[in-house]
Amino acid sequence: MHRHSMAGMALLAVALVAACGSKAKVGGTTTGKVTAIDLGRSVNPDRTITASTDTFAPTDTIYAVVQTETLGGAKLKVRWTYEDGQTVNESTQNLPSSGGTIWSEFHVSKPDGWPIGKYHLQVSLDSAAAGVKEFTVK
Amino acid sequence: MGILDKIFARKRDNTAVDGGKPDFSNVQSGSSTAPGPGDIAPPLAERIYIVVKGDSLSKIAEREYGNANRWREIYEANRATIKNPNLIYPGQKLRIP
Repeated sequence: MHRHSMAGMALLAVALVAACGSKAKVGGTTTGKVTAIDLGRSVNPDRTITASTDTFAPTDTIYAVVQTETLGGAKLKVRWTYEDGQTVNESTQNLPSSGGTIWSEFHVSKPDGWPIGKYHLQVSLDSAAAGVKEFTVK
Repeated sequence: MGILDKIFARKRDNTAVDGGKPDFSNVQSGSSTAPGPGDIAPPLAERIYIVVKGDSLSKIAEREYGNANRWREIYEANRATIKNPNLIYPGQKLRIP
């Protein structure tokens, strides 16, 4: 019994270290995973980013393409936030029930220009954090 | 600088609207989803794969085909963009035949 609890503690410690040391920017849930997050100023007709960048001008429309692999029917949510934590925008897409590899495109614009600073794009799949991407407006 | 200049300069700066906090109330947004690149899912035809950190052609082949040894098929389909099969980079778009 004592040996079992020691083994459990060791496993827990390994899991915690692995979680803290992870630098992964994309991840998944039991229903699927985010395999890529791409940012740019425009998208191709095939819903891929024309030219990836993480630096934008205040007048840019900012596009994000999120690639997911799901078993189907998952809910993909993106949350754009400013450096002060303020929410800029939130959008949700219900992924097709067919599952598989799905490309989702999200875009935001601000007619009077983006405030200069750092922003985050947080991606969640079925309410579980699945990825984050940082970008700068300057 | 006149009062109007100050007002318009502040509006152009656009960093502080109310007590130093930016105003995002007029942000416009949109989104769309497709089961693959484009509006129509390519059934068993080519797909586009976006390389993520830690990927290699054999890892992608393992995931896409269930066989890491089929990496050469991906390499051959992307000879135009892959000079060295050992060097692919995150964000790179690969055709999966």
